[in-house]
Amino acid sequence: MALLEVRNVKKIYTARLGAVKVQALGDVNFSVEEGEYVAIMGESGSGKTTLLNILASLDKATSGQVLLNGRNLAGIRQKELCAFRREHLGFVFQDFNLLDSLSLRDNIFLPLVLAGTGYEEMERRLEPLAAKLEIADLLNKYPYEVSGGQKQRAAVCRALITKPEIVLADEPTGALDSKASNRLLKLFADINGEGQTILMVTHSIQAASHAGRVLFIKDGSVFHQIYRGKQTDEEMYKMISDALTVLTANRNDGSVSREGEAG
Amino acid sequence: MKPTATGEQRAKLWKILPGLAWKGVGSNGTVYYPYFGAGIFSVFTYFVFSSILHNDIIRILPRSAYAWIMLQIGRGLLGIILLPFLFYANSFLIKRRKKEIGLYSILGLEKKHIGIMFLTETVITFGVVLAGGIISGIILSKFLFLLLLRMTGMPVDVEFVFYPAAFAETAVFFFWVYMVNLVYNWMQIGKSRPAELLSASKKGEREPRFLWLCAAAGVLVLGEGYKISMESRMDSSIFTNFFLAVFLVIVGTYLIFTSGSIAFLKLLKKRKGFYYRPANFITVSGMLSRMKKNAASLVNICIFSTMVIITLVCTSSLYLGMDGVLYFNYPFDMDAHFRESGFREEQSGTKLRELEEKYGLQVKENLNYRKISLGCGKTGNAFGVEFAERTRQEDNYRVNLLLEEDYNRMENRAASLGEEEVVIYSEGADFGYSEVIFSGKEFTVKEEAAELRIAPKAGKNSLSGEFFLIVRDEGVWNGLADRWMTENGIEDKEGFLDERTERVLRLDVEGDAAEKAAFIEEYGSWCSTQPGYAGFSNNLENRADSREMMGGLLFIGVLFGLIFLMCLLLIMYYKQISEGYEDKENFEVMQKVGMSGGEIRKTVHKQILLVFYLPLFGAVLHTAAGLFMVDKLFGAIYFYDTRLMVECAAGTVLLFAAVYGLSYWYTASVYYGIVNGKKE
Ligand SMILES: Nc1ncnc2c1ncn2[C@@H]1O[C@H](COP(=O)(O)OP(=O)(O)OP(=O)(O)O)[C@@H](O)[C@H]1O
Ligand SMILES: [Mg+2]
Repeated sequence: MALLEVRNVKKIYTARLGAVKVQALGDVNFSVEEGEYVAIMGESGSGKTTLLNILASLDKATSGQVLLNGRNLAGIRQKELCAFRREHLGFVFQDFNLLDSLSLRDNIFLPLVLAGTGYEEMERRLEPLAAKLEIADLLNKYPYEVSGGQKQRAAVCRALITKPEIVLADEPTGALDSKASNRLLKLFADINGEGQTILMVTHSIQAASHAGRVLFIKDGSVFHQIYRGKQTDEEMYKMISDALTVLTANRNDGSVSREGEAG
Repeated sequence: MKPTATGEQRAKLWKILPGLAWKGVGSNGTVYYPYFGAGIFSVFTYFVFSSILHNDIIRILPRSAYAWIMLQIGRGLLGIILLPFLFYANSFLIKRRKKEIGLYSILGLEKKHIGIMFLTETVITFGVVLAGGIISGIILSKFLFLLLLRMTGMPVDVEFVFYPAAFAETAVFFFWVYMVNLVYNWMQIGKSRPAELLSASKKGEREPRFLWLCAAAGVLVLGEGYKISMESRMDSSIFTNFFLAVFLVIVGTYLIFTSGSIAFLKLLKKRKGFYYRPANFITVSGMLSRMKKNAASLVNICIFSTMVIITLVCTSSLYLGMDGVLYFNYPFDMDAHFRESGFREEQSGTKLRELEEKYGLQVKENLNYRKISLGCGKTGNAFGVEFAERTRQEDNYRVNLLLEEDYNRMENRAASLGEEEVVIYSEGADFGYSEVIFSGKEFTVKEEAAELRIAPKAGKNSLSGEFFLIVRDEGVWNGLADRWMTENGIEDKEGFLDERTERVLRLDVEGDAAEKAAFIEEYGSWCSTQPGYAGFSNNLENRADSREMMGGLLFIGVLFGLIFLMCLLLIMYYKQISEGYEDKENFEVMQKVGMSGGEIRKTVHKQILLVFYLPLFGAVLHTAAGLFMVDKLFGAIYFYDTRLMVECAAGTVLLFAAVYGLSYWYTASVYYGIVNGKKE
């Protein structure tokens, strides 16, 4: 059985007043196996964030199912949802989402504290992770005292410390320069190598080329996917950019989104 | 992008600037409208004070001098309070708008243009505030003027006129206020780069240094302030002590709120087992960051709360205790003094009866006694030479020697004193000894009288309290006076004694007020023609004078209470708003990380509540300590009713707590609006 299964997910946004409806997701189907590293690509407005929010149970699908380890997210009651998120999912956001009032250490501890974990246990989990993410020296600093790359590594640390079944990342390199991006991507590849399942939304071909599989979303549904197989990062990069060319060439309005390609 | 605009572009820019300014005001309504409100109220009060001051009436009316002087001082104080306050409000606005301005300058608006935008905004603000304040002033100042006249007991049927000078002075004062703000705003954009402006609201604040030292210093300083207030005595040093205590309390509050609370929270944070528990974690870290950012505004809230409470306590006690004060100062409608040698008792009685008939009034009370008044230095139970080296300035008292005969008659007593016995009475604190030594001669105190009709007692009257020694007869009387004169080296003993031996008449008249005034007037002028005349006091007029002075105080007290309250409410409101904007992001993050909205709401609510009631708690403590001093200061105007003052204080604190709670409730709802993204 797949770790994550997305079946016929559809999302329609309705404006608060009035009948204006936007269909963000039409009919999304795919699954992610344990230990996979999946990148999701697509142009701006294609529904990537919407999809990720649904997977993260931050938003509800209009119809369709999302199963994590065979459990239907829609079936979880509102009250338990927070605890569920905390225990099974890890998040990395484009804008880090660290609390300025907490030191990096406390930011990382936040989900564990909320889960009622003891202090010794938290320290025990933090030590190897911080060493791996190379933020051990920064733990007592506050978010506004460190660089973007350092912030993002702290955020990754926060996502991993709960030992989640799957890490969901929405454009994690979006706010980083190329050097910091590469460092982060290498980290993602490393932790994936240790068995961590990762699902990452990105605009950057560079970022996507590290993944084991790339899903392309267009107009609210999965349009295409590429498997790495035995190929190198460079070959993967080529394949992705070819696929993107096809993807955008099909557009009829002619405006091409190529924002990610410089990265 | 080079800022070398062509003529056409420049013309365009000039056209959009006023628009931007309007938009700046409009889109920041949550912070701008209260700013306008505060400005309008400030102009309003200032204008009302000015208008009343400029009305000739207030100078022409009989006995209006006190009210006029007090209004003059009041307006000066108002200026001193309003300038920094409006400055604070303005700097709050600018801080909030830095990001927007940074964006403008990145999009190509030069500093010059932003400067012009500020100028336009300031002109708009100045215009709106001035117009609003003056219009409401015109509508309400007549009413307030009548209120003042009523409170001071002045005649109310007068015309109220607006003088151009009042308009001009108000406009000029506020012109400078807004000018200062504008210059400050210009300096803000002048010295900062766009990147700084963009990230200004995010920057974390540096932790204050020497936390524990500062916290300890705060406790000490506050304690010292309290001590000064509680141990103060009504003497010449009370005013310096008063300002010293106020200063110490403010500094102490500041240190404790900034360092003490942070030190305490950090201590909690160090205890890992406590800190890393779900409820404590968010609360402690949230409060820590709140205290770091908002300690200053909490101090302001605390100080303003204290000012509001103390002002209202004084005002309400004075209002309710005014009659008591008037009675204490002037227990009788009139007092007449004669030299005993010249006094003609019969004629005086005849005159009174004649006047009673003429005006159809009754003399209700007619006390009549002899006394010798002597200044003495007091050491323990001994009265000696006045201003002797051994005695301090405060230990000099007036001692009145009375005769047993008069005492028995007036007080309806039957004291029969021995040669070496006296009855003693003190207006101030009890005498408390069983022997008394007067100029070296010792007497047994047969009784210490608890009260005397001619001199109301107030145990706290340590400044102007007099002593009364009631002696057996004229022999003892003259003997004592002789000893005193010898001790004080008086050469012409006979002349001196003749001058000091007085006959005092104290009268109450009953009946219609106007008739009564005429009666007293006429009797007073008759007295002045009599042999031995030494003085007459028309206490109807004296009471009216005092009433007027206190009425002026009350009027100013009420207005100042309102001004302080306005400052307080605005600071509170701004504090909640700024926290709302800060917490908005944190809310979102916490929710994403796995904390339910309800949970967050609850903990944050708890924090705000704690932080919010801290200043109220501080203010109540400050008030409790301050009351000791207010009590002493009240002594200066012969207000001795401590019980009444404490009751007023309790009432005021309750009322204030209710208003405080209400404003908390309101600002909290604005806060939730912001956090939930509804009132952006
Ligand atoms: N809350 C919402 N209400 C209404 N429509 C929405 C809402 N959120 C997103 N949409 C619409 O749904 C569509 C998909 O948005 P989504 O944010 O998922 O795109 P995206 O792929 O993440 O884009 P980007 O790459 O720019 O982040 C867009 O057309 C968007 O306008
Ligand atoms: Mg997106």
